Amino acid sequence: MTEWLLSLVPTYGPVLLVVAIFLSCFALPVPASMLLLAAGGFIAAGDLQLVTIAGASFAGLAAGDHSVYVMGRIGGTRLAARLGRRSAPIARARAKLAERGGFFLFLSRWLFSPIAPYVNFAAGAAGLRWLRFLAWGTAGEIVWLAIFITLGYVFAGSLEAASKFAFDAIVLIGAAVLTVALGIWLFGHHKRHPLEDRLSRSS
Amino acid sequence: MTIRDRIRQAMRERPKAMAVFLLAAAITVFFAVRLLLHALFWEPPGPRPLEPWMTVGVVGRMYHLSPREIDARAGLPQPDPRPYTLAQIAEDRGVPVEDIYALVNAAVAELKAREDAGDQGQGRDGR
Repeated sequence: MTEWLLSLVPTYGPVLLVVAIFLSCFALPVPASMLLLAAGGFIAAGDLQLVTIAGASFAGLAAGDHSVYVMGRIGGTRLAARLGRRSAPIARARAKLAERGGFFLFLSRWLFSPIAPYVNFAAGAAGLRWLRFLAWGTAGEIVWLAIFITLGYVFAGSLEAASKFAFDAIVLIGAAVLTVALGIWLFGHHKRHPLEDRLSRSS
Repeated sequence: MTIRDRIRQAMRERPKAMAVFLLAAAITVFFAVRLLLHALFWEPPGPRPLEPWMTVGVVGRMYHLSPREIDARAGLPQPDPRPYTLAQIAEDRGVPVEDIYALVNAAVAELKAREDAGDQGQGRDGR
């Protein structure tokens, strides 16, 4: 399967990437990151041009992500609003996503890319403003493309080594981000609610 | 509050979050070390046996030779403008891909020999 995919890349490079990456935005099981790794390798071999590949990949990715966002806006908003009326926490989560969801959206695009389609949809459904989606989403898209094309270039031809490295690097960054975030939350200096003080002193 | 106090407080009041924090920290350290070791000891693989999906560009990169020179010497088609994979060339010619490997390997050997001859100070011949 990998061999067959690899053999298509030098021949159909840009077109293949546009289509494959676009489809992957809808959570379809297309190995978009593998194709990017392969493309990076062929760029190193001089068979494909970086500008063409980067442009095509970005076009497919942006088109896919924004389509899913719009789907969320149209289809999800009503459902989310109805759920929100029933339950305060969901309404709060929805409001939070709409206000602060940008950074999580950014991370989901490249750090947890399998869930990116769902986050894009949820962002649309939560009513995240399109300009915010554009800004955070584009940043995440650029990071994702840069990581995989660069890795493919560096590991030219050794797809297995490249994907192992990518996996390790992403787990490392994800775990590090989680550690730092939790650490700040657990040990950071924050104003304690006076009631908390009273309760803990009495326990 | 001292750091120690904060840690003790966190363990007391938020044990689950602490557990997750410790796990995340452990994973971070583990993968950091692993990545470091891989980076230090990874060597780009030397030239490997030809495969059907490869293009002459890939071969050129493996052997640090100009792909277009390999094409010329082996009598293989130049990209027009899309590059051909070795499998495609074989299919177009109606021959098994191993024949194409033979052509490519022969060209690579000749070009490498010429390079070595040049390195020995006999100057590059004009071929």
